[in-house]
Amino acid sequence: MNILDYIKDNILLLDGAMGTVLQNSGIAPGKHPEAMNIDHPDVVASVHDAYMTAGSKLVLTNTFGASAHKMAGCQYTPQQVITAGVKLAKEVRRKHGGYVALDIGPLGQLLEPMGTLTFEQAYEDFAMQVKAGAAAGADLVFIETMTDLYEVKAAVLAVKENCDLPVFTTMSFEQNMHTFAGTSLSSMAITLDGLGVDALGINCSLGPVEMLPMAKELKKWTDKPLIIKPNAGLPCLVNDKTVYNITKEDFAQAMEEIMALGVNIVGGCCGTTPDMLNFFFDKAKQHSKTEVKVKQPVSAVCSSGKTVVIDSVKIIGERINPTGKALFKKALETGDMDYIARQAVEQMNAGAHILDVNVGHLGIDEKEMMIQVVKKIQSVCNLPLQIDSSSPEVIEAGLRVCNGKAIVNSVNGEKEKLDAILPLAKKYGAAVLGLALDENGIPDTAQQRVDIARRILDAAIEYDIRKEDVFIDCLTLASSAQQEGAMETLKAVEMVTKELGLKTTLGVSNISFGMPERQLMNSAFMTMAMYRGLSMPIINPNSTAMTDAVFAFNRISGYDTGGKEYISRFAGRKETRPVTSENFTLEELIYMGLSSETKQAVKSLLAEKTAMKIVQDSLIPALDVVGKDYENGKIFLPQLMAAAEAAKKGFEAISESMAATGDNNYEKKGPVVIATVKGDVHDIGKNIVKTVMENYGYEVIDLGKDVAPQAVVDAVIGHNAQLVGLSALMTTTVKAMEETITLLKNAGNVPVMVGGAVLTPDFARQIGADYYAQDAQMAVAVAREVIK
Amino acid sequence: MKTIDFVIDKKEALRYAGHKGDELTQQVSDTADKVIAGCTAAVTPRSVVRRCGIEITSDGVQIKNSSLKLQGEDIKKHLTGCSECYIICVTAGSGTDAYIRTMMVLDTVHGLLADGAGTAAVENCCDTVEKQLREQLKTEGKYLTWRYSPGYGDFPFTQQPQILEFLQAEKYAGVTCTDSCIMLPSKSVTAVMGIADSKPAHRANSCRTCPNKDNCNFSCR
Repeated sequence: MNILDYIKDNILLLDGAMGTVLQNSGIAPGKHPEAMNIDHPDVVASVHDAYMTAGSKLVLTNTFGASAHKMAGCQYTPQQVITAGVKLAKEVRRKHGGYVALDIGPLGQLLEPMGTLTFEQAYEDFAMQVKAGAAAGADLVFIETMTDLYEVKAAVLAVKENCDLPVFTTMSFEQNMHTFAGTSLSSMAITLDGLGVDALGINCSLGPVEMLPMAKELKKWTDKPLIIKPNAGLPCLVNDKTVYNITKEDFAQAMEEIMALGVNIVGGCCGTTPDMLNFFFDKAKQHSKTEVKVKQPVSAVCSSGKTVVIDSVKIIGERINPTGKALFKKALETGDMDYIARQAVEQMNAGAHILDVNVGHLGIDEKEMMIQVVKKIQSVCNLPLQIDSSSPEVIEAGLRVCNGKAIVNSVNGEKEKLDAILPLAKKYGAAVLGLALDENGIPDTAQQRVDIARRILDAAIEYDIRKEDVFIDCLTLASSAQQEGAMETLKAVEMVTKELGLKTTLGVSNISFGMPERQLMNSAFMTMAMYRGLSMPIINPNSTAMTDAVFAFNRISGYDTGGKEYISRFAGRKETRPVTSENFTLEELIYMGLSSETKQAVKSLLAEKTAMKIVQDSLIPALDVVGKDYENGKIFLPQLMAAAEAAKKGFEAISESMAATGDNNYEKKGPVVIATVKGDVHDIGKNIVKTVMENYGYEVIDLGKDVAPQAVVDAVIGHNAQLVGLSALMTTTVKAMEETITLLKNAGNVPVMVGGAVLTPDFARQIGADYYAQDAQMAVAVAREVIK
Repeated sequence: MKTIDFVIDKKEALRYAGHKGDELTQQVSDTADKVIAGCTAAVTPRSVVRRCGIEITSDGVQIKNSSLKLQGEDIKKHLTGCSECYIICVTAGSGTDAYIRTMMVLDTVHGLLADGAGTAAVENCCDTVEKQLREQLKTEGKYLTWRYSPGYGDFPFTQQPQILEFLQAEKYAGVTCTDSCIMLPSKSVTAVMGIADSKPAHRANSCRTCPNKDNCNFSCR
């Protein structure tokens, strides 16, 4: 019987610990316990046999660490130990019946953004393991002890795309109900449920007593079969050894309580033994499978650590979109990811709940950009994302690398569009936003829009997408062009909400297009719409009046129970401090590090002086004074940077004014390519150099950290760079710096400056660098010498 | 795998961010306060502690019942007179790194100060762990030397992966190591402390005796 059929009617008893049992087998497992599948197959088989004799219906192969990274240095390849591991487990299974699961554990390297392993590399490693396990004849794949939801997603996709086997997945949580990487129980349940795993749950790290409340929480978020595979209590150290000290009686009792919640796939992890499980299984066998359904249909999306339930009005931030934004377009053209990331953080800080991500812009590779931008945003912001593109290919690319459950923006009533997008939403477990229009355009009446919405809903259900994951945009029309349109839109919002029971969105600001006092009209329209049922206004959250209105609405309508969110937003909000620029010179404002005041002062000065003159007479001299005081030890790094950031705001005012007037007599110098070398992840020094150099008028192409030598060479050639700056913090990574320099010198003769904690002028010379810059001020001095 | 009490001392955070002395502009001071509060909320400290028997050999210190051998003359010196040691790993967690990244995107002042706050946090956690171990040893009539970490003196920091593996730091604290021996989460520390029967003669982890004192930006003066 297929395992999925088996769990329909039966409690599934899993096995217990492999590692801790092997450790007690008398043969030291060494660095690669998986090698025992080949060197001591009888020992591994005896563990499987002991569990199956004790009553386990499913055993996990001894392949937990059979990843390319963890197996490095072993005499066997991952494929060899996987093949041997599956084979020996199947032989034991022949005697007892039951199932053999290919066991997959974490790769042992942190994924981006926490570490340097890319999502795509992780996928490849898992795919290799899955192919080997499937070829060897495993009945299913069991992904376990994971702490990073992103890594789990890579693994689940690797299973789904490389074999037809069922997939079970468990992660390890701490008592704070989060994993080490910050994944929450709800985010795990929502994301993995969406990705279509066959069962999900928790293993390792804690004992059954601690897992009881977690199992309860999981039941709220998913109807999937749940797995609980705890340790034998909490580990503690006794005489150098990790021991687990729960009694088998206590283990069994706690597990029975968990099973009463409707958890039907149970076993043990570290510290559990065949004897302990046998005792528990004898009791478990007296139960029949309990079905407990507690999950309510809720509309929710999530990132890895944050779940957003659409049970009150939630703001979708619209600022990550180049339409009508010159600076954003420029950031896309130059690959300035920090600029885009800043838009995300600012919206998060302003009160957005979900961020729309649109990077469609003529002349750029939208798919590649979507991948980069989604990854970058996830590295600095924990809000769920809405992937926004007209191209299905771009949408798929964005959904694939998105960590959590996203929204797809968008489909509409056209059949072709529905057939292209809905399968993607289904595959990646995303919610879908449907525009109430079709091939005939936007209908005039609310009723016609509701008809289209119904069509979209029906199509989604046909693709097995849940109703609560379908959102409808009832479409805002400019009031200046069609005055009566606004009321039809509001009517449609109400009908979709009440008649179809779906959540709705509106791109609010269209309403005021072509009108004066736009914010007033936007705010009034949004409030009217929220009262008619609008659940997710798509707005600029940085507009305080709009965001405030949402918080007030949630408070008044009772969604914000007890007014907690309202109070935490407004309590202690201070009047913005009056600009003091009149009392100080521009130079003084910069020296004090007052950013907004500096920007204001530059704006006022632009009325009387040219941009060039302000830069030459005020900004650069102010920076020189700060730089000199830094060199002389009068001020220190934080203040130097505060001044640099203030000056940067001044330059921002200049660029904005130049963009507005088309004036470009202030040419940037360079460009300079900077990077933190391969293998190094410490990039603060590099970031400081970037800020300071940009202030001195250099165009800086920042390649980020952990940058491969060839990527530096490519950027230097691609941008025709005049100077390269490389940073490295560790002696181990200076080697990569040397390789980069060698490659650069072979490719041409661009001057190279280097910096970093372990470098000295001598050391810099030895590895072939032309200049050594101890700090950002010296980097500017080098640039002044090299770039005339 | 336990959580640890900690506070982020403003002076320490500023020192790690490159600030010296007492004078501070209002703007930097305000930003530091804000960032320290944010960082405090982001830190999820975890530690792994193992007590092990040791044997001093000709080229280092062998950890008994394991394949781990600490290399170099300096670690030998550090553990001279000890028959046991503690090996610890302490981390401020991956949330701290995420917070620093977010602040760095806002601007370099926030980023720099958040980084300093993260370092101050993990160091303070280490102090807490060390203090607990010291108290515990007192009840046994024993003494603790001080924290000696890979990278100090000739104790190679390329031993970082072996130490993490010995502690099973990935499993118990979520700490891993890159191929270049950099620990991730980045605000993590490993250290070795000797357990001595008699009070160690002098405490030598001050800046004055550090072999790297000439090229260190963070000396406490």
